[in-house]
Amino acid sequence: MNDKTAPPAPATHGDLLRVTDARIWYKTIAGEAKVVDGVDVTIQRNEVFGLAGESGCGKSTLVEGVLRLIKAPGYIRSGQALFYPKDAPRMNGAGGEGGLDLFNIPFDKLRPLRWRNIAYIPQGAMNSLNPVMRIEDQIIDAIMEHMQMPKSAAQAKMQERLAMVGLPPSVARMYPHQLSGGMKQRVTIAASVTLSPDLLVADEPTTALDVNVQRAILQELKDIRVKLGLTVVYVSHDMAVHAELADRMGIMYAGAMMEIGTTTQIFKNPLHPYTQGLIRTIPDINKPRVRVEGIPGLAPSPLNWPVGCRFHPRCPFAKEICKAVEPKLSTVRPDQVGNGQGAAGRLVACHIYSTNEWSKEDLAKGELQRSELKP
Amino acid sequence: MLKQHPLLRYYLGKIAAYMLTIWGAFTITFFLFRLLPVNPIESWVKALERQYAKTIAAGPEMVNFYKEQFGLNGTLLEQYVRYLYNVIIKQDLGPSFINFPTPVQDLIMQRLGWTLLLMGTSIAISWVLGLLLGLVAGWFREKRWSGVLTNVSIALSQIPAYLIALFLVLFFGYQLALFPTRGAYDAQFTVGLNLPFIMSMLWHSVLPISAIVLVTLAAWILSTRSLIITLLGEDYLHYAEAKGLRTQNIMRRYGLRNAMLPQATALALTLGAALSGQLLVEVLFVYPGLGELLSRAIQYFDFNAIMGIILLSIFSVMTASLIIDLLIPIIDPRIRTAIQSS
Amino acid sequence: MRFLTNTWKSSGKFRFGVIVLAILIFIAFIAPLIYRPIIGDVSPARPGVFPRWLPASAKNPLGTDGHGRDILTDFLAGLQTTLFIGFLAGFLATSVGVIVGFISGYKGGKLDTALITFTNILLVIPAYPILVGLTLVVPSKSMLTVALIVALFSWPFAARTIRAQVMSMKEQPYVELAKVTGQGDLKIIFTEILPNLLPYVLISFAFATVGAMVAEVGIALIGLGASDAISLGMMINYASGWGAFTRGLYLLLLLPPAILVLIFLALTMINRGMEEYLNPRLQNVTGQ
Repeated sequence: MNDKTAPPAPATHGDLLRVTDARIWYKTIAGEAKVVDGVDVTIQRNEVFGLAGESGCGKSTLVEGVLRLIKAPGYIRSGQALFYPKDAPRMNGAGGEGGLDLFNIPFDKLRPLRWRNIAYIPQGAMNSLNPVMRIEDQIIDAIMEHMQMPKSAAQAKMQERLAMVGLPPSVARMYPHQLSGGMKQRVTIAASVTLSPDLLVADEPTTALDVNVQRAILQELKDIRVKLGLTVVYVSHDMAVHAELADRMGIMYAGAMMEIGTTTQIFKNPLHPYTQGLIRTIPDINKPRVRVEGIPGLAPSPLNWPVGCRFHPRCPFAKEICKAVEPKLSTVRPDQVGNGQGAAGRLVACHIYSTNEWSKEDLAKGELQRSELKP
Repeated sequence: MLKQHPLLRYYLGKIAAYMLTIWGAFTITFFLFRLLPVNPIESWVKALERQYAKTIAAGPEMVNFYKEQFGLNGTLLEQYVRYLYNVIIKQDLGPSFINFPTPVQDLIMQRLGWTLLLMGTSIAISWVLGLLLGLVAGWFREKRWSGVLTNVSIALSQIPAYLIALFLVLFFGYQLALFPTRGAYDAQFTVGLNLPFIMSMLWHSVLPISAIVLVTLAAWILSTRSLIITLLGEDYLHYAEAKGLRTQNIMRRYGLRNAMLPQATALALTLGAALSGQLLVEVLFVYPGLGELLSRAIQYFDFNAIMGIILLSIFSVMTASLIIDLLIPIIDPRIRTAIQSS
Repeated sequence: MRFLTNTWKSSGKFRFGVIVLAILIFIAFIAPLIYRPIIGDVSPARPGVFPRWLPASAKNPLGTDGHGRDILTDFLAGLQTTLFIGFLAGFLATSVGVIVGFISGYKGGKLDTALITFTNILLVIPAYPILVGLTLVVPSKSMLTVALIVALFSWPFAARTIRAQVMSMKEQPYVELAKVTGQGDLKIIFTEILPNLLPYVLISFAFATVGAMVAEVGIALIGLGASDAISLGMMINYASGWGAFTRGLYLLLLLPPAILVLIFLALTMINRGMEEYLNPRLQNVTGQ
């Protein structure tokens, strides 16, 4: 038996953001949609944290909650998001030991944090630029809002960032409609990193672009991140992007965190049956062409998550306990993790690893059932 | 050649539609009035005869003389061609009947200033106020006061200005006797740039302007509010918020500025329609504008005055809309791109 | 029908408008039961039935007016006339507008260009002077002719609304699907387009009715109302003619515009309710 939950570790020097029991719900006519329903996750300094999961799993809502951009009828029901920025000006040193709870901080204290300490590259980056303002005005207005500097210095800062994403200085004088989709995306990235924020949240920023542009922009993001030493939370449903970019990953399903580990751990040795399913959906170009297998069953509704483990209706290994008890995100013992990929730092929410209910044969049978599903 | 220049084709199309619409509207109105079974000159001569209780010997000659003066001789088609010739080539709208022999263009010029003053001021006040109130009503749409403001605007938006004017006249004019209710200024002052006259003029314009502002303001509030609510769903507002800008700044530079173009367009169209917009308000306040002139002209079937005012009104509506059509591809490059790729 | 019941359920504005309008229409319907016993079997518009300016009495509950008519009857008959002319003109205008707008939007091409050009031309002409001109010369100014004249210039608005809707509906996937599966024009019109168009027809009707009433009052206000009836707008004209301002005839002066405002308000609320149901963004709180 090992049902020990992740110990509430003291705020170490390495942690930048510690989210505990985040619940972000939406009021609808049909009832409360529990889009994010009890998520724990810790982001460490200087890492790229990949947040993965199918659309509708709540990953975007989670990061919008951390940024406090949730709009009615959505609201932050409960939880904590402790943020430890390096310097928090205008905060009277409140950025120290206790951390700032982004979920509860008053708006007038939150606003100075935005962009300077926690910046955002939104999902609709293509439409994130004001069509009636020049690019320079849209970046400089934010610099002047947060920093005491002459306009010429702000101008120089902006040009430096535009150059960093490979844009010519002339872009500054242009209007958004004069730019291509990829250029707009680069402008948004440049704008978001202008003040070298402690935390950069990027929410599927490249989805609307074609593959070549996507690749180029991902590469630029990687370079910038190294140059500026940024901490990045990267949200995407695309596992291939995470493989390329992320140091650690969190897998979300049905408003909850299923598994957390380093990218290598997740890809080489996925523990949660849902993660295993996700990995299997990635086509392998080195193998002969086979039909890519999806995870059987339908994603559940946030109005009515399954009781017990949220994944159990679609899980090939599900047993009675899965229908009754919701598994907690817990550490795993090294012996539960095969082929030498360490258990260090790994968290998984699955009864297979927290109970002794499953025998080797059970697990093999699950695999068997799964392969039988193949045509 | 036009196929390769979509923008040129767009401009030529707009100009053609402009000329066609003015011509069509003018022609319909012209024949509509001339086909009415009335004979203003004969009835005028008869009225004179009745007044002096004797037959005017030269009655028929007199009628013919005046018919010629007013361009009512000959067939309808001849009248039509003659009128068009006089207007286009000689810039002459003919003599007026109610103020014979003042040419209609002079009569219009005397009145135009008053109407422009009344309508221009009302429209300017209600546009500026409506944009600001609509902006906050849309932005804070969850707030109680926003709901109240919206509902009051909805209630006011469809009530004709003349009914509001009636209530204003009753309460502020008669009951409280605060404001004058007739005319544009007190007769004892000399017309010109002197303080007493201007004060009197402003004083007289309070009630008519209030009546027009109340109803048009409601419409501006509602349209701006719904524009802003549509904008609130835009990604760039979301992003502006994530940039940590002040709410005021976001409202002004990201919200209002994007609502400006459609509202400026609507403003131009409203200004174009201003000349014939609130005729009854002018009548009610005996305000010496074009509307009051038109309503008298109709009662006496003063064809030249009627046609002159209607033609001016059609012309100003269409010109305002043409200017908008021609300017929009220049102001908004998104639309230019859309035209070019069509 | 589903549209109406849903709007009823979801919109307080719509309910308010419908209830107020229903009460007014009900009063207009039973009006003869009230005024017949007072005035007997003559037209309510007929002057000189009673002496002028009688004070309120059992026989004339609100007294008589300057034309020797019972004032209570004035109000009731005025309400009847105003509603009748408004709804009739609104109906005529909407019918013409729907037909023109529909043909224009559905057929497209040259026919559409011709129809929309004509519609736009009519929209540019200032309607009020022409309405006044026509009213001045028609030989018999009955309620019907006034309604016809008023309808003459209010259909283009309906035509524009319907055309825009039909054009956007034509692009809808379900209509495309019906076309691809080889359904005939008529069948598509009756099964796919008309049912979805109904809300917009109703909105056009409510708008046209408000417009018609505004125009009727505008004509009546300068003393050109129907000659065989008495309308609320005509009452305002009479009241100012009798020097109601100076005589302090507040009931005569204030009640007709107040009733008119109530009618306009009811129709506007009905319309707004329908519009908000179709486009929830207009509401105060989104996403509920």
